[in-house]
Amino acid sequence: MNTQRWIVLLSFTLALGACASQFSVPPITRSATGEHLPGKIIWHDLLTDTPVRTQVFYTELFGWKFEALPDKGINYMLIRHQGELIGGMIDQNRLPNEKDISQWVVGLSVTNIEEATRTLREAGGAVFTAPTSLGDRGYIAVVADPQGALLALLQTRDGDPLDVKGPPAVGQFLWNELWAEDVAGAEQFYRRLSPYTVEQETLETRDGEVEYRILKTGNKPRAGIRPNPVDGLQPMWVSYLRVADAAQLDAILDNVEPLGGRILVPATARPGGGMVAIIAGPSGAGIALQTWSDDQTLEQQLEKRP
Amino acid sequence: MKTIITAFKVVLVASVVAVLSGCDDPQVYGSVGISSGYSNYGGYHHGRYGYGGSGVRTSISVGGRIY
Repeated sequence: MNTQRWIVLLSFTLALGACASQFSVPPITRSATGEHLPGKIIWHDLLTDTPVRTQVFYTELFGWKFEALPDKGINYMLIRHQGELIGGMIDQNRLPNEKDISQWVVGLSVTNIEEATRTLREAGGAVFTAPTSLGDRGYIAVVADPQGALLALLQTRDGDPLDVKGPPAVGQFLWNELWAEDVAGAEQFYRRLSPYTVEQETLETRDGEVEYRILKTGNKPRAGIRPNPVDGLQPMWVSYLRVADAAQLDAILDNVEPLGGRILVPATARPGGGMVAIIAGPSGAGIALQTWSDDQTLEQQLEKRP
Repeated sequence: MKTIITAFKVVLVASVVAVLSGCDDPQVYGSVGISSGYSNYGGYHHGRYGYGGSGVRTSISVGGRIY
């Protein structure tokens, strides 16, 4: 091989190497916190096969803003609400998947992603994407828990969003809940994965008693586990957005179908107080809406129970 | 000199192609094989459940944040 060819080959190698090293997604916090909160759900990614209609849907309903990254080669948009980063959106049409995978994916904080992935494998979970660098954001692994619920493990580079007093803003993520086939098995797995303590509640509903488990770290409620309420539905994580009150919930639901979405569960009274509904966006990705007042506390919730 | 110019052109073209093709995107969701369950969820439309699927028969009367 002559000198010129060597230079050409070297040039290609350098160009591709530079490409690989450039990949980076912004951190999930405005500034480095330096603190990791394993067991906290710190992020939400939306996979959608209708990215344009999805943006209109969430912008109209909740005032979210979608922001493309400067590098157009990266299939990722940031989602902001009132200036705060709350999630990301991926265009499913640009992925090689054969199935329609439109859905919301929760991002669970871990301190050691390699170890967490190993734990998940040993427990019978599936690893779709082994720990992978996202540059400034840190590392991600895309997995399914042993019962098949999809989630992402995130080891942030600069720290996780810190806990704040009071509820999140209206239109932001309020809660995350696993609909499991085997609640006890799910509890066992997630306690192995993260340093959770568990509080068990029995909720009286019109359909009878439902066991509900609250996963906590440092006395902070992080997520819930409940029996899968729908026959034949794959176990999955369901995220809840905060809605101010019943009037706002009704107003949102009135606009769901005109914007191309579906109402999966209409506004329904919760035994603990407030209302809940479940909707799907234009891609079919479902999300729950729950009313939550600014001063809602455990005591108030308990008083309202039957 | 000619060799250097050629190399420079190659780097430029390769870089542009690489960026445009998104070669640097690891596509972390690219091997997910789990579909959303909502397509089988049924739904609620004009006061009735069940359109669009065979799924839900009851409303979800619990769930969500407790405190």
